[in-house]
Amino acid sequence: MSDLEWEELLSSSPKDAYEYLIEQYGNLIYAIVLNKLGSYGTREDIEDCVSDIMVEFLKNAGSFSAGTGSLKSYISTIAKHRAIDAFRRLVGHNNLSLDAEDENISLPPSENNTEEEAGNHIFSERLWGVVRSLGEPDSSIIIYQYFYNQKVSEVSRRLGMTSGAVQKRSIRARKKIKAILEKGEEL
Amino acid sequence: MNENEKDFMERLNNLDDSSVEEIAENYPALSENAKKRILKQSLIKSGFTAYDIEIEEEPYEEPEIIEESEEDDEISVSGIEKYDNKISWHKYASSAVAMLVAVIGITSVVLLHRNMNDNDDFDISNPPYIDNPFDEQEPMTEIVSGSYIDKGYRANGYDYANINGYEGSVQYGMTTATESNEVVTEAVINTAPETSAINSTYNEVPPADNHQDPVVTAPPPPVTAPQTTAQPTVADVTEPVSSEAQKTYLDLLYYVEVSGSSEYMGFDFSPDGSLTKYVFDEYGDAVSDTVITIAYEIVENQFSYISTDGFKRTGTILNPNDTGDFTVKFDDGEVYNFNMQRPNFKAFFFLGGTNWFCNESDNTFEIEFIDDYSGNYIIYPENVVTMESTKIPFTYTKNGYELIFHMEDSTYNILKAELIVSESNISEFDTVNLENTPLFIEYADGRKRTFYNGN
Repeated sequence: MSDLEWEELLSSSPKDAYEYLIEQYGNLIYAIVLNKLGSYGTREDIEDCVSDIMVEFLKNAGSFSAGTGSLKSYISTIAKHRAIDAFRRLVGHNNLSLDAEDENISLPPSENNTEEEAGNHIFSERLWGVVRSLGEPDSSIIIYQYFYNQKVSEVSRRLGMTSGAVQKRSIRARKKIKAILEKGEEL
Repeated sequence: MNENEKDFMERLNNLDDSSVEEIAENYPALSENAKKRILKQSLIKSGFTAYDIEIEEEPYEEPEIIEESEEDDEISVSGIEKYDNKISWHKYASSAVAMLVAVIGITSVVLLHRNMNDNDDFDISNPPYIDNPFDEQEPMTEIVSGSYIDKGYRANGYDYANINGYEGSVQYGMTTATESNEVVTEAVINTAPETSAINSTYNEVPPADNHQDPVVTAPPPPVTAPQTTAQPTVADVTEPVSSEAQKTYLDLLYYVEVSGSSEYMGFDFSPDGSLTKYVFDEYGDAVSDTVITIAYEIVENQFSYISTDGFKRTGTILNPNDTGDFTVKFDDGEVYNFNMQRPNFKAFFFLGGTNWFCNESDNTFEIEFIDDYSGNYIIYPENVVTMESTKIPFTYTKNGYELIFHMEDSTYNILKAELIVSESNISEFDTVNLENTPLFIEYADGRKRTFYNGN
């Protein structure tokens, strides 16, 4: 379905338009939210935030035009803003609100920890690079465990492995990751 | 893992947009239920009425009832089992019927006992059923009779492997028998296929002895499957193995060739959690660690629950033309995994041309049958290009102490397949111990086969 077709669907059947959005972009929005929230929110918090994003997107759907930008980038921008709002709310800093039109959004670092934040981001990217290089199923195990914060039993069900096997592979993968990272930089 | 290590893993967030996009695309997290929940929430927040939302109520996949320890090599399970299904009226009714049947049964036995009072051999305290579940099943009486039991079966094949940057070909043979002391008197060493041929074959080889099922007259009919490359010819060359092999029943036989070097070896899985490797022949100067690594990786790939990291190497090996034995022992964690799924399960199913799946999420069990173009069964390690396969779901019913698996599928010319697993062989992790559990298969053409795991 093209973005233009989706616009038409939205006017004829909002429910189907919702359904399409979740089917098409649900995983992306979910990942964006988790990327900001980390382990701060429960699964309910995260799903609540995702649904808030859907609602906001639909509310502002009038301002979206398939001719000016892609549906994906539009909804991603909203997702990032709302994820930050949710993060602040969850950590008790809910007195700030960001303009949905802002670009290049990121968590505003405090004055004292700008350098630290930058360092963290670089480390996270490097960590992701190492995780990605592990190969399957280890990459999947680590991502579902530590990016999506899923329990071993969930991961094992998802990957069709036993909990013991997932646990074991996870331990080995983390040791491997640590060894690789330690070669390049201090943890 | 200590707190510091946990912390660094928890920093796997705050990534770039492109990284997040990649994760979302390659590692999607939302289940169908989660999507439904989010859709419902979104619709409600948008002001749709319940009437407008025709979405089934789906519970969270939670609660998590299992907590795994994060400690290295320690796995503990704790929690509370929760059951969503409440007992409904018909279950009470079923119980009443069951009670009635039981009363009738007991009465019948007592009356029978009275009528047979003169027969001293009959003892009511020792009822005439035995633990063997097949005695209670009509189709299984054929198995017990022995006329359809394949006493021994050996299969061999080869795989292309590309592991850790090493390319090599692997040929393997697997043996099984109903008698543990059966001797492997021959092994198959094949000319290695071209490394560009990314495929594998799996040939069932009848046993050399006279235990072959007399009913079997023809292999299963060919089933077409896509092939990416031409299938190389397998030229079997039967050679005797060392005296060490002749004394030993082996679960797996391998021939590994890497960069012109090769090794021929076998693995023997023991119930005590040890894996013994026998090396029969080595050639070339590149064998050493490379071959060993690949061999272990292959074993690990085929039996994903075995971690080669835990192998403790003892003995002498890696000298050219070494024919000595080599023993690896699992550490505690490995033994734990080892016991959860014994390798023989898979070896058993390999022989049956099947792969075993146990889906813990919805408590279903599946067995995968894989055929190649020639009708022979094939298997695919994780690292090998896969072909079309079909999962055939098993249903199961509970009958006393047994779970009886049923399968009917015409795709593979199978009329009926039954696998009866004692409940005591099912672990708390829903892992099934198939030791001494035969799979009975009745083909549409009238053949009846039973596959054992070899112990």
